[in-house]
Amino acid sequence: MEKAYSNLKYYKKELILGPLFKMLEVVFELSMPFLMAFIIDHGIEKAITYKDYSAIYVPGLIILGLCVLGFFSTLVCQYFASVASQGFGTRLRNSIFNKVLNLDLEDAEKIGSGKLTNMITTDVNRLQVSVAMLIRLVLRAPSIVVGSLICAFIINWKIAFIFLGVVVLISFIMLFIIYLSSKQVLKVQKTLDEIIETTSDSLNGTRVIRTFNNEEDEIKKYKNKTKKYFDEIKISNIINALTNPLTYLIINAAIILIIYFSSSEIIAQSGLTKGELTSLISYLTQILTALVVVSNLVVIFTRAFASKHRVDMLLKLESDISKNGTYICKNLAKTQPILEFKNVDFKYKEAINNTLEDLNFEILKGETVGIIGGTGSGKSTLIKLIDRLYSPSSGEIIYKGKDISDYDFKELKKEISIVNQKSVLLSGTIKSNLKLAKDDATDEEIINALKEASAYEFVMNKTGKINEIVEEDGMNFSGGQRQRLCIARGILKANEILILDDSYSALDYLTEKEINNNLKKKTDITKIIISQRISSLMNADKIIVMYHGKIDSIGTHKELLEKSKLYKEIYESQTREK
Amino acid sequence: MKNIKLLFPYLSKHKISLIASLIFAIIFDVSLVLLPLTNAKMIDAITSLIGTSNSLSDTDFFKYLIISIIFVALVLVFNFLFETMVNTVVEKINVELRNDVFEKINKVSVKYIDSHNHGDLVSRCVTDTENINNALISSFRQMFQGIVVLLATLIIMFIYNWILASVVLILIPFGFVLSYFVAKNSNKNFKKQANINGLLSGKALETFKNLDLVNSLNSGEKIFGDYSKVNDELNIVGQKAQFVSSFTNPTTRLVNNSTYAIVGVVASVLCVVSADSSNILLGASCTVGTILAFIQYSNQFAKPFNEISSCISEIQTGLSSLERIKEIFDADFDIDNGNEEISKNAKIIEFCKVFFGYDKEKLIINDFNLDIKQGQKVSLVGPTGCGKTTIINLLLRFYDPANGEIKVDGKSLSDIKKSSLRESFGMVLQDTWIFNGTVFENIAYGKKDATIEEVEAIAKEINIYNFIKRLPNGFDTKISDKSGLSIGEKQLICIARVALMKPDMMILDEATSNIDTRNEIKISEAFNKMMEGKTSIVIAHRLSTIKNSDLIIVMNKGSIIEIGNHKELLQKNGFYASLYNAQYSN
Repeated sequence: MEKAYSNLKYYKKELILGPLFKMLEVVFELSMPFLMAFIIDHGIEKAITYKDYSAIYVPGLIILGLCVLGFFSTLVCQYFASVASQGFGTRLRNSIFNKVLNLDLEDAEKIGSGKLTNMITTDVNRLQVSVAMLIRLVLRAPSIVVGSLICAFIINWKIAFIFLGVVVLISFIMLFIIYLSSKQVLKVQKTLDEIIETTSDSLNGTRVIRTFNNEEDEIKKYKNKTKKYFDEIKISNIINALTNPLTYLIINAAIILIIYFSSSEIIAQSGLTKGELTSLISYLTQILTALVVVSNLVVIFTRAFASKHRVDMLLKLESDISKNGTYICKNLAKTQPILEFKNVDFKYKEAINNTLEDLNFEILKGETVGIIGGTGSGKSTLIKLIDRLYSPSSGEIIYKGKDISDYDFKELKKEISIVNQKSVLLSGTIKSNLKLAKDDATDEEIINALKEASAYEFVMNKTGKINEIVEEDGMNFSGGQRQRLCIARGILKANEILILDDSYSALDYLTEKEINNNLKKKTDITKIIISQRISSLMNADKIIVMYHGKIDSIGTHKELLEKSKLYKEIYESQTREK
Repeated sequence: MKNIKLLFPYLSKHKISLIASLIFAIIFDVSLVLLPLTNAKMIDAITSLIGTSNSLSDTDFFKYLIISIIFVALVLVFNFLFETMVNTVVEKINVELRNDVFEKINKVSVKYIDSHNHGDLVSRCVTDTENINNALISSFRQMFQGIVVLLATLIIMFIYNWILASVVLILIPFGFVLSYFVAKNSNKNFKKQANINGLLSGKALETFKNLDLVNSLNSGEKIFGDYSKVNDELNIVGQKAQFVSSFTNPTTRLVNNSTYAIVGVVASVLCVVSADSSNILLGASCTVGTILAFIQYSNQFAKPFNEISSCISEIQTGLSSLERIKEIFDADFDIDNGNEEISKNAKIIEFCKVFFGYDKEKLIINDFNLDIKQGQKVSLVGPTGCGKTTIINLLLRFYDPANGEIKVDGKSLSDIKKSSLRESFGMVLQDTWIFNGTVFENIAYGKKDATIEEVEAIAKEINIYNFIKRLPNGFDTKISDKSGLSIGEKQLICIARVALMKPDMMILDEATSNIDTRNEIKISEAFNKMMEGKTSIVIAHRLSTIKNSDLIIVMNKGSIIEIGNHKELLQKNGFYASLYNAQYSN
């Protein structure tokens, strides 16, 4: 099974070579104070006594050389890091995107598009940064700390214990502060989310707020939230403000202690020399810098692991809908049964009650079937079963004589075309939106579909014609225009079953009638029309009346008026005169 | 840059805190800079004892030890005070800025809100203020701490040893120039990366929002192909950006380490030279203590330079955010200079030769004339885009007409106080608005002092009591726009909200189009009861909803083409009749 970090396997070379080159730099850096000590202890003496400066400038030049070598080996490491982390991120984004496309709709809706987008952006970024840091710093920072400690022990084991104390104390303080502040940060983040919610609420409700003259209350509500935010972030700031003073305290106290405890040995000229004292202090500064880096790393990796957790959860999700069917759809003669429901029940994964119960009906090829029912009667869920977005909990859906799940998933999807309740256009052009339904559609086919959806006229009035730009969410089209474009898209795709799920809501009755007449001519195509308006369905060959997830009755308009009380009630509610 | 003026009032409000933090910075920075000096003195005291039989107490060692300890204590206290103070002040400014932006957003014209992407406005309120916050913190740090450290270090270095000071002064800025070029180069790459990144997340969000569609259309593979193409592009650009930007740290380390080597060598040579007393004229005597001090000083001196590139990029981000915020502050306030009040119960609405267009070239409302008498139930009918909703926008003064006059209660709209005008209308729109809060809070939104009994009574009156009682916590259930209520259910709550207000006039803009017809009848009955004898304007698709209106206005392309009641219009056999017949023909 794939996991967030699985893609690292493609970057073994970078993961091994990168840190190795980094280690070279560490070795160079750690040897510098040794050379400096040599200059102070021997170079100066030699120069004073023999007028020979070579013991000063030769080690000096070696340090410079090491600097340059260290620089280049770091660059090699950085290069590996950038290749591996970006490549890793790219692969992970592809994996997530693909995973989401294949999720069960129910799972995807439960997670929510915002959170999914967050995963593919923020979480992947954090993981990507963690890979870069893994190569660049994870080995470097601790090895500088450990290396400096070892060097200190080599120079003078007694004073090295001060080093050990510094490392332990600073690590402890940093971890403690990270722990405290990360808890506080969670609180702050929650309040910030509330602030975002309030802002967005207030923007979306501008008209309502103003008709109720509630602007001042909104502002007051918002100010309360920002006040809360301030109080919380103040605490987090105080916690964070402790880091610098405390580390300064420890380091400077350590320097004073080192000077004090080394004094007797230096004076007695037994053991520690003054050059070694300077190198000890250099090591101490290096430890401090490295520890700061380590504390940043702790933050980066804590975040990355939270992200890893989320991404793993997503990648772990398995689709319940089997897509392993192999049957290829065959052609069917007219008036043969194309779709049958046999005792179909459906329950959402976490629901207690069935959403659909005991559905039985048969649809013949070429028929027009209407489905009607109030809000929450299960009409749209029924469609999602036909579309194989969901699978029935029990019972069978038979398509052209075979169970629907035995078909090759992609082949089956080619035969079923749905126009959804919500008119959604993706950013691009009119043409690119229609082509989503049929990748190889010619301009002629597109224009025909537009004509049949009564959309041709307004499209031709646009400056770009079928190449007119569609902005995000199709904002540059009116609701009615969007709906007609979606219907055109559905028509373009339809070659066996066309389902219209309440797709006329933004159209006036004249346009609706025009489209219906066009559809009527497509006698080869089976049409399923869902609507709340009886007028949209009354001419159907068969009307299915749904009520609370069950089929109330099936029949023609005329039959239903006689046998279904519910249908009659709906009909009367829509036509009665007062 | 000139946008910075925007921040002056906020900064000057916190003058005292800012000056205090500057003083704190000076105290702790100077102590920090003096510490290596006292350490050097201690080491010199020790080395002076080599080969002698004196003890430490015969030297200045303990004097400097105590001074060092005092400095350490000063650093501890004042660094803490500085950090706390600066962060708190900036956070306070952040909050004030956010409050002001939010307040402004509630007071700009509705046109401004309509014509701006809401996601973008939210990010201005939240992300951009945060960016300004970061820029302020980092520039205060750099200004107060960085500059003070720089100056103090420079002065002390030159007093202490001018030759070594000159070496440091020449070498460190050299590193700064190097890292500046790196930063400049990587900025270019980052901009490119940010653009592609935006495109990529946009694609992801769009797809994830519409998974049902993508699934139904079976176009997953095609969409994935598009996505991975852009993703590959990001890989190339991102790798370059990351690699170039990762030069910064090694470059500064290169310069700092080289400085370390050069300072060490030069200082050692100076030690040798100053050992020969005839050369002391140079005025730059040198000891082991000096070497140590200068190694530390070169580090301290380099630090502000190393940090300046990240500081500059934060300031740049902050400045562009400031510009985005300024745009909001510069937006026009909603004009509200009328001062007349609408009297209770006299409810006449007149439209007189009204012209209007959202943009000036395209008229949406074209010579619209209408008299609505007291107590009339008026319906607006017509194809999408004919201007029905625009009439409501004009009536409630969300927009002002380009020409012509609208009167309510005999007074011109521009003379009426907006609050008084809007108070007299109850409005239910097609787009429902549910805010984060309980059902009770959502219903009682217009009536602060409403009791739970009142809210329950209104819920019963419009037949939604049972539906609410079935929610997990009844009236106390937390709801939001995304909390899983269906559009119809949300609409019912919005209707209850208006019903509770018992307004004098009522506007329903497609208010019941998402509610199934059986429920709609029940609600309509409640409405009718509520609106008895009161003026109302209804926009609806379903002609059944409007058949019993006193007056039906049929609109097309911004003007009235037919007017009359249901019967009259059917007899006329015009546009309305054809609409009606299309709906009910067999």
